[in-house]
Amino acid sequence: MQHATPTASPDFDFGRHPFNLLTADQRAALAGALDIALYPREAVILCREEPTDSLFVVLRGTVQERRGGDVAALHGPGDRFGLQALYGSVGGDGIGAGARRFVAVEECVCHLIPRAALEALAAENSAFGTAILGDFAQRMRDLAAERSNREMAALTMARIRQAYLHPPLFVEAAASLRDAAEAMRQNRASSVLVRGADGQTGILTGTDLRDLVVLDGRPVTDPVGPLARYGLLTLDRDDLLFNALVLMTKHAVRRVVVTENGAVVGLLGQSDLLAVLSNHSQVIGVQVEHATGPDDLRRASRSIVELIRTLHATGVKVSFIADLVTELNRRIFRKLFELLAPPELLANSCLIVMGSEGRGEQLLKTDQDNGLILRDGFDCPDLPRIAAEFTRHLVEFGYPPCPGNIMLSNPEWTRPLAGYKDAIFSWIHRPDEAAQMNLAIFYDAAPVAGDATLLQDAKDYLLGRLQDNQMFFTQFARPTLSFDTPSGLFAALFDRRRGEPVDIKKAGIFPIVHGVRALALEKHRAETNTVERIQVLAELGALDRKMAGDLVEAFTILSTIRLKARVDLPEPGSEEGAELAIDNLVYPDRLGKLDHDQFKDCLALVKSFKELIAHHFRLNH
Amino acid sequence: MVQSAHTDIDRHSDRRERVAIHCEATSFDLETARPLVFAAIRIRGPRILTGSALLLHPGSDSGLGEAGDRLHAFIGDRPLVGYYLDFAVAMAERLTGRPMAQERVEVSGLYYDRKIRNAVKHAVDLRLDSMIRDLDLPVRPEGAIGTALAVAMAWLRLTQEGR
Repeated sequence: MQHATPTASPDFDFGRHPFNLLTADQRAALAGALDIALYPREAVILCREEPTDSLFVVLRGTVQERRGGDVAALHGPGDRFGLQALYGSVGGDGIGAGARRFVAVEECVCHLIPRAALEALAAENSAFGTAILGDFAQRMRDLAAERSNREMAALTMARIRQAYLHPPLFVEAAASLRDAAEAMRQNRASSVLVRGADGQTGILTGTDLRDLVVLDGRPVTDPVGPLARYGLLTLDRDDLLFNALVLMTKHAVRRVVVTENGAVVGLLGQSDLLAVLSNHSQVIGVQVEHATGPDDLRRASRSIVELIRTLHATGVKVSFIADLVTELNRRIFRKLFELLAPPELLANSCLIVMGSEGRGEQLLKTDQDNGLILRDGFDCPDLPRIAAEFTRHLVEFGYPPCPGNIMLSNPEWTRPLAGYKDAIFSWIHRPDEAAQMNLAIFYDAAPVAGDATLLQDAKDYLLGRLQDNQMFFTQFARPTLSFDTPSGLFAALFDRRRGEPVDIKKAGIFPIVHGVRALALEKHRAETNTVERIQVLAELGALDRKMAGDLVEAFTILSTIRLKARVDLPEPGSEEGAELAIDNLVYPDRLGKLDHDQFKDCLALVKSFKELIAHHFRLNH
Repeated sequence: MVQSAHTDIDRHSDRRERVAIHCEATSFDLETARPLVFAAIRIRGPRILTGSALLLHPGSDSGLGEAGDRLHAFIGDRPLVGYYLDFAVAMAERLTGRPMAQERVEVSGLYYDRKIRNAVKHAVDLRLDSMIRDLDLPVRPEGAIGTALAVAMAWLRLTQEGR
């Protein structure tokens, strides 16, 4: 619950290191989060049996740190203690550390900084984090640094050659301002290059034109020669992109001229430079929009695989890749449907994608899960042919057919709204394994083309049919526990069997996706994305914040590892081989130490999440 | 200050929470007073949960009904601690529209009992600042939250030492 922030915490000493590293806002946040505790003489403040959730800072009095019978340290006002208790490994710490106790020597008052507040500040203010968390933070920061280094390295190594260059558009020095404007319009360019009298090259941008004509009132018949700006910023095509970024930033310009062997070959815009991180995404997007037939789409679709590889190699975050790939896939589906379907079919139906595509968690081309909802009463005689074509083309594009046959070509998934409602009714009231799965993937559905209100209607019907029927949700949630997650007590065993592959989807990703889905369905939520569901569940209080945060983190890490396992496979030479095979096995011994540790942590979290789900839905009864 | 060698933290080792509450109103006349500010802080064991304290301005930052609901939800049936507590409780009952039947502890009463027991002949100064100073508590009773915090600290100090 969010309360008004009181600021009555008395005398917290912000002048003392490391709290003096905090900004005014951070100090206020910390002051608002503090608790205060009073201890009488001889009170045990902290001991092994009493785990703590806070860091202690002494305000008044003296605290003895005792190890066994000996006094190991004294903590007076301003001193802090309890960090080891916060972060020490549970139970396995050896006798020395385990027997540590903190005792009030006299009446003591301590400020207590809750762990969550401490970590939030440490994350926000790295200097403070380093000082306060010390060694513990070292590991976390090393992890973070390694990742951002990789991203930095990729950016710094990229060449201008990898960016999209606008073809150079030249006008003669004698050309008028109007000619220049006309040339820009015809070529959809935002600037022209001017061949100066003495062989120099100048530039005139749209902004210059506006200023010269509109603001300064120059006649449009003035020649561009004397008005263009010379002394261009140029870089060679093989220069580092990073240099272009530096140059643009330094001179506050949005484009540089790119040369090759001394000749101008194009202009590099700031947005193109930034788009290099997302590489071909724009190109693919354009290809899709301009496609005039399935062949064009096929080419665009094939380049998605290359895009994923590049993005991943460039160190782009996996959630970003998922967003981009989802968007591109959906555009391809939409365009294909628009190419195949007559306008009246488009107006009276809704193309939907389900499962991971609906959730927007598509990283690779996985099985097709799609369907079509028709408006009740609408009839399209040509529909079976169109549906079959649609599915056939997608298979050709490299989206494998759905083994469960959840595709447009299956009449079960191409039917009127009323038919969907009937199906939903029976999924809910006569649940068997297939019905459960259908319900689950349909709950994840997202509209791609046509009239989205049809899907909305169907989903409203679905949520409206759900009763607060414990049995139903118990059944629905049960698959969360279907697969074993190697972790916990078996961690040691797991280590010994490092060589054996783990199915990351079954052991890690699916339990999160499905458990979260069950919780979201129980709350009648409309979100489809797993991370969004987790966030909204946390807001509703259905998941505690810490668990929610950890789940998002684990889900991201597992998805990254899964993608990496696929992308890092040696690349076969053939064009077909350029398709990334879908295979979810992860070989722990092939993971780097970093990933391996994270993988273990994530699986442990998945395990405790499964326990939470089991408890919540009473799956063990 | 007299200190007892006997420590009585067992009383606090039960995890029952209490709530220190303070109300500022337009007057101290129960008939006509209108509450302006409520501050409430939970106490768990030796710990005062200032990080999740409740500060309400009924009728200003929240509607009267909403303020009453939030106050009621925050307090629940936890025993109350306060300074001039009967007044605060009367105001709270009026705001929430519900009677509060839980245990009430008046810190000035606790303090008085202790002073009397220690055979002080002259009148006991029961003003809150004097109590804070005498109990040597690190707090300035300023504002509603400050007062509630001072009350919580005084209660802990008085009960931890054993009466």
